[in-house]
Amino acid sequence: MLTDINMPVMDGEEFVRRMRVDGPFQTTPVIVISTDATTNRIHTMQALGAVGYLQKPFGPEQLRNELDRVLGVNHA
Amino acid sequence: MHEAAVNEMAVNKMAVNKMDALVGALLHSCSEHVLETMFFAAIFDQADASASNGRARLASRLHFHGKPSGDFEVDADPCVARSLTAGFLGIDESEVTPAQEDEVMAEFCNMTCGSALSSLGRVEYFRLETPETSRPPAFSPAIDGVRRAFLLEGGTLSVCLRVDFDRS
Repeated sequence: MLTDINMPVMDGEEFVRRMRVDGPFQTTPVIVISTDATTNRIHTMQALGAVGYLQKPFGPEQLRNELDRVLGVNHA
Repeated sequence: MHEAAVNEMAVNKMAVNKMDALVGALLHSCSEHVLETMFFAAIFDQADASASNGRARLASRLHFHGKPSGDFEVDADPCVARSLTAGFLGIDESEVTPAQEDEVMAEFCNMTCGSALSSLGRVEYFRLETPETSRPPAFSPAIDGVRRAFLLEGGTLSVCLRVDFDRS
């Protein structure tokens, strides 16, 4: 699951918090995509269970590398 | 005025100038990185923001609160806004709608502000509010902060950041 943080209606922090409570998405890997790369924010999202963090702006290669890392894909 | 007070004022002024120079350099590098990475656009040169006086503009502004709080503003020539929108969405410029221009300039505002704040060093946390986009008939800055203007294909674009370190 890829999620931004700054979103209308429900922000990414609340979204991940609710995912982790119960239900089918409880263990789904979450990668956060945000402009906010402050240490506090990254630690908060990691504490909620996010396994990856991409700071905007990023290119397609960075996204692919992060997806590969999280999914354990090795192209070698 | 007492000599110590004069010296303190001079030191404070030097610190402010140093901070403004740091913020200015950050605005340049972050804008360039965001433009190249997400909008496939290049900065040709620095520009004079006020040189756009008298021509219609597209502006996007947001307030951020946290530690510190402040404001961020983007001002662009409509031709630049259209070109950036086409680049960001991967469509032809002739297909770009005004609503898409507003949304993409808001995204540029959000992304560049977040990138600059994350790089500033003295920022503990922040939350960006939703950017508001407008189309003023001329360059009309609403924020008194550090501004940098750039020449892009089609016209100029400027960004401005005001950080309230003292009020955090």
